[in-house]
Amino acid sequence: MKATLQRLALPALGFASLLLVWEIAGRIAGPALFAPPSSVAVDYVGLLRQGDMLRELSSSLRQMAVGFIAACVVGMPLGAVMGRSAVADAIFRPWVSMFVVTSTAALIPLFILFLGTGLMLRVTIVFLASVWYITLTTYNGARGISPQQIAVARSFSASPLQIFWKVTLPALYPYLLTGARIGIVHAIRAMVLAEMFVIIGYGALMHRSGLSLDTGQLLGLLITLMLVSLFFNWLLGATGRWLAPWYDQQRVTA
Amino acid sequence: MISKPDPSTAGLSLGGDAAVAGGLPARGDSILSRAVRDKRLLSIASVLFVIALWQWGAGHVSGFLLPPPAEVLSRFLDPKWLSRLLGALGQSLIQLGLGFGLTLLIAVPLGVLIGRSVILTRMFEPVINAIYAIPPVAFIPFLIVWFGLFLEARVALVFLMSVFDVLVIVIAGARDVRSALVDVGRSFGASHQQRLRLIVLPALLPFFFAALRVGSARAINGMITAELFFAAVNLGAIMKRATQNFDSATVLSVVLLICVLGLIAQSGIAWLERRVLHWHVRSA
Amino acid sequence: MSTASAESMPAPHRLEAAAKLEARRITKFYQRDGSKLPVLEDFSLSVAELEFLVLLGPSGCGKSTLLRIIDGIEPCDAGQIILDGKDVTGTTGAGRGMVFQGFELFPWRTVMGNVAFGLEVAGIGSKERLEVAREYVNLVGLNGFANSYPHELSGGMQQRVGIARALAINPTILLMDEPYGALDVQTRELLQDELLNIWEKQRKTVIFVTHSIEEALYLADRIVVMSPRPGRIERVIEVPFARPRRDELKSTPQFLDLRRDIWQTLKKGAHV
Repeated sequence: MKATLQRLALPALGFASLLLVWEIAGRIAGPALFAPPSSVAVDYVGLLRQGDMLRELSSSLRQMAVGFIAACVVGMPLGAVMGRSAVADAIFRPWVSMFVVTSTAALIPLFILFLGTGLMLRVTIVFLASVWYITLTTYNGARGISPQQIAVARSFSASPLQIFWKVTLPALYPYLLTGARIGIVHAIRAMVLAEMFVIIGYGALMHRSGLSLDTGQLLGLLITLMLVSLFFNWLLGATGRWLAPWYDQQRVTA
Repeated sequence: MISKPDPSTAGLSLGGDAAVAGGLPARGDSILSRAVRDKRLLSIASVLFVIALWQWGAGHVSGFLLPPPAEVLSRFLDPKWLSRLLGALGQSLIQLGLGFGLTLLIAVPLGVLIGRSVILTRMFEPVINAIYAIPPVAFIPFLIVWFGLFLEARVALVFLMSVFDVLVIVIAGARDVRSALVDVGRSFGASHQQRLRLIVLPALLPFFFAALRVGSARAINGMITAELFFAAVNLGAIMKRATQNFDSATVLSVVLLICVLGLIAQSGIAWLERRVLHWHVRSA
Repeated sequence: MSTASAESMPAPHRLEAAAKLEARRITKFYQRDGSKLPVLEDFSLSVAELEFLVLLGPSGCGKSTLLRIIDGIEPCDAGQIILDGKDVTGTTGAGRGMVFQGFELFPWRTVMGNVAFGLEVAGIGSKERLEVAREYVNLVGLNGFANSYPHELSGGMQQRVGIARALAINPTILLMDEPYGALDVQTRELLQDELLNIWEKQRKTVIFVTHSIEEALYLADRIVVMSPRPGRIERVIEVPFARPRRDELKSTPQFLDLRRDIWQTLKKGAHV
């Protein structure tokens, strides 16, 4: 118990100092520029009660989920195949490299022309923003699968399918999960980006708060985004640790 | 008495060795098998194939929706338009330079400072991770309120979009410096400054380049986002106007330009990294 | 077993001069989950001038910790380190050069750069540094590799660089922490011979830590056998073999008997 308290003391101190600086700056700047945490807290309760925030959030997240899941469904097998087959790598690599350096923001006007401003646009942008990172992370994982481990399986007369399920896939878990974590960060970013460009959904709420110089509300909306992001990060991390407790997730880099 | 040199094999990345070949046996010298063996040809073939597909597709749908590749190419070949495009790019690069320069100036020293101090790391890493979790794009309404709609706001967005990535990586690198190496420094009587200069900073270089790679991509992202979300100027203005005119060829050409810009940036950094980090052995 | 200083033992081979280095009543605890584990308790040791002393013992007996305390890179909870009559407890540098088990070369520096490191820290000018570094690079037989990087060298070569680096600052006492522990047997034996060669040419006081009885017997003037938890002197052995020592010594009956003898001592004190 004491150890836990000790562990939390310093981070708590860090947060507290941030809140203090924010409070002071906010009081000086005023609510039109930078609302202090005290008024943000009050506004936040109002936001929750009013219902718009949560409603738009859930609908945006649902749409984001479609794009994100599509990105996983495409990116994970793609990355795995690219990692194990030099031919597949040569075929798909130029596209992965090209897309990963292209700003999502630049794609939005283009896809508005192709797809309009409806659901398809947002799903597509989320997909394009996250799929390459998922692919690359899975690719790194697939490349790293130790040939020795596969040799061990073969010496036990495992069939290719068994090798896939019992060696390749478990070895990939940590990378799949890290890829998902990175992917979802980009997915959330893309969702907000698209919504703010088209002024729709959650992004529209933020845009409107900005226009009306209501930084208290704006900060509240930002904090919700932060909590959502942290939540997903935690969720995927915990799933990873549950699925593959033998692997130190920290070692996986993108 | 001198043992024979035994070059460390740790330098070889897991690249080509672990990747299992596609499984196609070499069948004489046919073009197909040669392409398979020379992977670069395969990549080029893949790109050409998609362009061909694109050409075919463009023939079947309205020119507004999908401009044929030839039309996009013609944009680049038109000298007047090209000079306008490159001029806009030049202007855009100014805020990129200012914003990213600011990021490096602030995030690198700050990251080293925090990373080398256990107390500071424990205090501020959770805070930084929390702020990092907010999509930087969401700060745009703020930036409009604080900085207006012009250069300052754009530079601020470029800064905001890149600073946390660089900071997080530099902190990780500063923390990661092997204590054994620092012990060597102490063993030889090196002062704290000497240890910082002679051991921590060089050990940090690989992370610095990783931060440069990620940060520059985010900064370019910030640059173009700023030009689309604040008062549209330079490349962003070109894109917006083209979008309003349903001129997808122009929009696509700007996208390609940004893509090329990104590739050049990454290659440049990779080149620099190879030269500076020739001693670095990448572990799996 | 007695924790008394080893000076009370008969010393036919030891020089008459006063102790070069003295560790007085060193005490060190490790904290773990609130409880304090004693690593060293009231440990005292004397090393004579130009003596080759080996600290021998199983893992966890505190020998490496003691060496690091002597070097000043690890603090002790009580006790003093006296070098040439001066108290150097807790300070680093000052007359001690250390060779590390993991080599710990700076990967971004060439062999020359690594060897010159201690000189650079001491503020010696670059021309002089390079001259001295080159001298020591040649001494350890790496002339052809002066501008190579650590990752281009084998383990044995890297450790040679480590030795050159420590010698380059002309330390009063050389501290070696299981320097050959990470190497294969053949390389280790080659390097042992090389070390003895260098030591003949450049006599220094040496404290060498190892867990290999054979290595201890081959290299040492005097062996201090330690047993763990807390680290204490189990036994002190004056090594009777004349110098210069040759590889064949390792298969002589006298060597093998002594080795078996020490093994018995270690077995008694060791906890698996």
